[in-house]
Amino acid sequence: MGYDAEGHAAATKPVGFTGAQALVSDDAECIDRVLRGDIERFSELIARHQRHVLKIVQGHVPADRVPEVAHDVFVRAYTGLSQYAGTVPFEHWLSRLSVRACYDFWRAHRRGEVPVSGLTDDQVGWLDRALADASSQEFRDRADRQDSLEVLEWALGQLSPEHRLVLTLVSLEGRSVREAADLLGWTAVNVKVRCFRARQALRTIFLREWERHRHDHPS
Amino acid sequence: MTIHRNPAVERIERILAQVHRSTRGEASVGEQWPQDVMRTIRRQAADHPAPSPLVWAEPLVWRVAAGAALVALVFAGSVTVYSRHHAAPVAAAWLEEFDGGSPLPGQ
Repeated sequence: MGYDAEGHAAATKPVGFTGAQALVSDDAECIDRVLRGDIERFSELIARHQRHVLKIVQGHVPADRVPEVAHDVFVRAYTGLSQYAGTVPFEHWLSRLSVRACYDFWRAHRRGEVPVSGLTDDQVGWLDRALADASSQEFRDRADRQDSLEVLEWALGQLSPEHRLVLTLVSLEGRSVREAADLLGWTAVNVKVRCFRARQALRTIFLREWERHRHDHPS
Repeated sequence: MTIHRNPAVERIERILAQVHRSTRGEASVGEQWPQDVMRTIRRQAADHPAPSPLVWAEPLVWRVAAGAALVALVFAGSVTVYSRHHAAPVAAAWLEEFDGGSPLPGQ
């Protein structure tokens, strides 16, 4: 894909809506004009929906890859615009494309790359304390936020892209099964089953890693 | 593989969910980013010509085609049934149409 990483790195000032990008027409009109060949009107759709897309993508991929994946989402939106039937709001259609792009990102990322590294001592210490502490509030107050994030990233990295995605949507972001099913294009039953399996896999990963570390470091 | 409910692991899940939500700040990209996207889209548009302005008509054509095929089928069926029941008048009508003229002189 033609993402210009250098261009992005050069410009760090965040932007959202600006006055110059006066959004006078609604999505349907923009889409109609783009389909009639006026591709510059697509920039209005980008300006209007970029925050929404970035927010979704940010929840699934590492921060430094968010612009690249969001870029991919809008390019997919353009190339698939003639298939947008207008039966759901454009923003909702973009949400599905965003989740799909994140899924593809992890599929490509994991291809030929099986994460084998375990947790560091600090991260196992975090896990140890989390498993041992009677009060989660007490633990949360003392837990190192960075360790927590690293453990989370490590654990998600052990899961398959499907499990990672469904677990993030349902368990981490707190979306309903129905909402997740709609975003993923799966049935609700499929989401429930995969979410259950993903949680089982996550628990196995935590316990296995914790026990492995205990075995290697009995003290 | 069945893992029994483990309160400690469930607690970890809750904590990690909270950490995940709390780290989701406002996403931002550079000023250049929308222009980068548009540049890619222009390239795409150049590689693949823009869809026809009559793109909306495509699904319409197929829907109409299905309806037209049905109407044609019903018409053909009704003509067949009618001509079986009224073979003589139909044959006469055809003869009158094509053979009704006077013969050429000298024949």
